[in-house]
Amino acid sequence: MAQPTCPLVQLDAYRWEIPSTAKPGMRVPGLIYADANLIGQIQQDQAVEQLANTATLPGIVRRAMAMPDIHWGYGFPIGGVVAMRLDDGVVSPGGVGYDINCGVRLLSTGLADEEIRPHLGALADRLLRNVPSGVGARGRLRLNAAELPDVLQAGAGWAVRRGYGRAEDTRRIESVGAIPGALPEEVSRKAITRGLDQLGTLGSGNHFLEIQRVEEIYDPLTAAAFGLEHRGQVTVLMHCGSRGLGHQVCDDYLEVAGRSLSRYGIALPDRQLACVPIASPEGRAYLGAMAAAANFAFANRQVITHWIRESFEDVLRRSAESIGLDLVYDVAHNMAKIEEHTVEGRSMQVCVHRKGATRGFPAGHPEIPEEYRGVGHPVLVPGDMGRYSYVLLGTAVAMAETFGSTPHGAGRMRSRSEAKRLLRGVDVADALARRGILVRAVSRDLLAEEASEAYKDVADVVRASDGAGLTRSIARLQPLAVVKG
Amino acid sequence: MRRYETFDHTADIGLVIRGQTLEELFANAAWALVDLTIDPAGLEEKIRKTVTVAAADREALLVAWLNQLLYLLDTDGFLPRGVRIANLSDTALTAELTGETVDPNRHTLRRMVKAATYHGLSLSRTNGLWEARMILDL
Repeated sequence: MAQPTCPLVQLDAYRWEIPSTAKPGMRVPGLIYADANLIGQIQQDQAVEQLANTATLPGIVRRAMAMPDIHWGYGFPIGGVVAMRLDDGVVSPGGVGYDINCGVRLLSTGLADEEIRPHLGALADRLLRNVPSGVGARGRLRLNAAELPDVLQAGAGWAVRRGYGRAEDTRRIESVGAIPGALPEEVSRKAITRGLDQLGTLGSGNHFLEIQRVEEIYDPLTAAAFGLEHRGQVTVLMHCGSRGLGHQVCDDYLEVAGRSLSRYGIALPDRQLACVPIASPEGRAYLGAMAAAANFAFANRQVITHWIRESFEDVLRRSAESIGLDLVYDVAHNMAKIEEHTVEGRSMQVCVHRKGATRGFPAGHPEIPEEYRGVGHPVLVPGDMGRYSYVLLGTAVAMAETFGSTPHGAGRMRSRSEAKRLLRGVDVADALARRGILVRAVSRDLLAEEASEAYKDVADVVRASDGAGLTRSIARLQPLAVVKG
Repeated sequence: MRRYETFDHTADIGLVIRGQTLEELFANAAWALVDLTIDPAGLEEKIRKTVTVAAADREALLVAWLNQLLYLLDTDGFLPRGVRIANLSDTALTAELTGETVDPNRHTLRRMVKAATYHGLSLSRTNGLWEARMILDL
């Protein structure tokens, strides 16, 4: 394990600064939101140094920031939030990463946990069959190359128009399910080809579908506004992204950025940080292609939502409408977005990179759907499959400090091989079943890598985030059945 | 000499790939990717493919090579069992692959690799042995 190379200065109980003198080339300081317990874990790998690296990027505004779930990624640390000026700043395809608009979507139901328990096995089997996942999975929807540009332009709206969902679904998706300014013509033929039969597929790794129950409600009024009414209420959570299409867009533009670095006079401490000026032809092309890939991810989660509804209908023999399965919210956590923020007292547009961080706009923000505008939009923070996930709210503090950014998950604590060593001989599915959590997985090999033991306790992450004032806890959700690729 | 080893990385997975020659290292990198994705024991050499990859330099070529194999997996469901590097320069390679289409009913699936990354990437020769280090996004 690498030793920490960057010194940290504690500012208060939840804020740790990396001084801008810590590493040559840093243009601004770094700031990590964490408590004393988490910061010890955070310093175990190279995440702090990775955050310091992002502070060297041209045009960075305020600070390079990281949420309490920060951990070692490739390029940006996971949990990183970096905003750039539009005139002299850069956008980093490597910073956004391969899984463009990887995100989370929550559905609520009118069911209580005791009603659903007898059907959980059948539901999980049906979900595993209806939502293809894992290595070599092909979607049940085959598109042709002429149809795909519509998906890349209209995102979730395309899926709803094609009958995959309800008209009201798109209202409750970040950016109404379609990032404006998508340029399908800037998406390569290779990326298009990868996307043709991947719409409506889950992927693998930490992606999942989960049937859950509301375990705890911390703020009944806000929870009710989100459709979370009582303990024991059944919800469905999904975590997935833009699949091979997004991976290819990232790969293509890393190459473009790598080639143009010297032309734009950019020197980098890590090749994966490859970036281009936002105000350059390459920058505009990447942002257009990234938006297109993000819209593919919104459409992907929308098609999966439709198949979840069908699966519940098939097993429970009731209409999806009578079950509920209403969209609570859909948030992205891998994206670069042009947003309006107040910096040093004046309003300006910046390009906010959220790499493993969730947008969390507070009450009153114009980009929040009307029905949530009085409270703020839900922030969905999945934990590991053995514990729980959270619904949070972003606050005015987050808006002022982190460009309206909040945590995105538990954050890994152990590498995959470490988790496997620790759990050698343990049947993870069996251990979870004994605790009342049913697991269906395409690959059993993957289960140990994704077990609770591999992750930080997401409750620690949420405590630090709430403690720093970035978020407020609304409800906690507990898994009943987990489907993995 | 083991064809490859993994090293710990918190979120993803690190690979150390070795070869007596650069050609062998590139073939071993493909093997590592296949071995992480499925149990290669069940993989047959039914389909033949030729692929050509180009990149700015030798390190980037290794990244591009693995990402091209992931492209074939996504688009054709194809994974190679046999890899012969027919032509290799610092900026391009041609490889002949023999393998088959992944079938979840016949193959033991492991995990999907999203991409090969440039983070911490190195490729060098010491004491006559080529060695590369790289991190894969999972």
